[in-house]
Amino acid sequence: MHLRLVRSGGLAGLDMVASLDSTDLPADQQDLVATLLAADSITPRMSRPGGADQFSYQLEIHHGDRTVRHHWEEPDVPETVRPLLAALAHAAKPAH
Amino acid sequence: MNKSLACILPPDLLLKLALEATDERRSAILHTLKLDQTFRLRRAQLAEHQVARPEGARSTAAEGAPHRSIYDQGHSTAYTPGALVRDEGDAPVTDASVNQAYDAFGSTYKLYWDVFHRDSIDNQGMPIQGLVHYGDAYDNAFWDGDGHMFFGDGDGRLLTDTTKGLDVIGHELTHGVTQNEANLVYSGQSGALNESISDVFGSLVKQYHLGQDASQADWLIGADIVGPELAPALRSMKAPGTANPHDNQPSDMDHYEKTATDNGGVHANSGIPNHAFYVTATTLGGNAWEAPGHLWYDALTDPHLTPSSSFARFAGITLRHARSRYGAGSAEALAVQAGWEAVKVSAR
Repeated sequence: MHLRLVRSGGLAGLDMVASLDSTDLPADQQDLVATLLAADSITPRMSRPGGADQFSYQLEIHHGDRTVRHHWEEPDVPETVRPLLAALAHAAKPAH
Repeated sequence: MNKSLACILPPDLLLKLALEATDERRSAILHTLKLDQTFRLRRAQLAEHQVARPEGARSTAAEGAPHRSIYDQGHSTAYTPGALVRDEGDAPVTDASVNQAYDAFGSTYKLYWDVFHRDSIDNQGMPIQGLVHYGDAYDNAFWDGDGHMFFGDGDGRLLTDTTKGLDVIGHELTHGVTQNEANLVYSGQSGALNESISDVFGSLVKQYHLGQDASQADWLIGADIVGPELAPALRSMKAPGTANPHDNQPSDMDHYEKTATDNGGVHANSGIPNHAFYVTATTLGGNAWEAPGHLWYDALTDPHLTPSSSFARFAGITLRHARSRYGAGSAEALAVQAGWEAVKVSAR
């Protein structure tokens, strides 16, 4: 499975992009990616009014002929997904 | 939609609902937004007729002093405050991040009180709550829209400890001020304006604390918190687009960034009104928190600045206040005009 993360927003307003294969991840995160691939694409819920400088995450997962796109605003990231996003963000580089 | 619901829902949420609604519901929601704005204008008219506190006067003992609370999130990503580690009046602790946040909140409160006679975030003494050590190597700081500011320790690559930035802490608190005033919708031009106002007043907090006039300030945002990849700073109000190798801020409307990310480029396009303020302040000279700061604060608190305001509307409001406060041909009015002309925004 191939993953592409775009993290945007934040105080720096920087678009950070990470692109890697799920085999580069620990086993437990590979299981999570498989679960996310099987799920329908997630679109963000309405974010809390008044918030500012928070991150927005768009995660694209490809496998064979299936592609899903999940989009979370910072307050709505599930706790189970946070370690995956943190690992991807650590590997990310500025888009520009 | 009834009036009681209109009083509960903030304008930006109403606007979002309008964008997603059917045609029939949309007109009802937009009517509610108009009613909401009418109420704000009426409240402002009533306030004008109340006895104004003379400038410089101190009123009750409760005003003029911040109420700060610093919480340690212990590297969790919980959205509720963790352990209270320093409360208002407590002595410094061993944790430098806690002390930095505490002191910077004090400096931010001091600018707003000394210069604009504003009593905290809501002008009614709202407690100032900072939550430090949020997340693990979290390279960010943010305002949550619910009265809290969160600060990460940085990853050492993009950002370092975000509590080290006096302008950053002023920036985040100012998001709260904006939410309590114009409540600018956080997308597109209104969102970029929201961001710019935070950069402007964050920069003024630092300049006021250091006693720097407009010619002495470096006009950089985040210089004290960036890591090697974003050095020397996050943004430059003096020269948007030059702060670091990844800085993509435009400096005028000809180069307005049209993008879907970052809520329509709110951190990129803030460079335009940022530069307008820089030109205004340096054209006039002296302390930027005085005339320029007053005019930007007047505009932020003017009920005619609506949640969906554009750069042009904000520019028009600053110009009207400049002419009203200082005179149509005054140096101040001409400096404001020069600022907006430099970034190619036509004041409306």
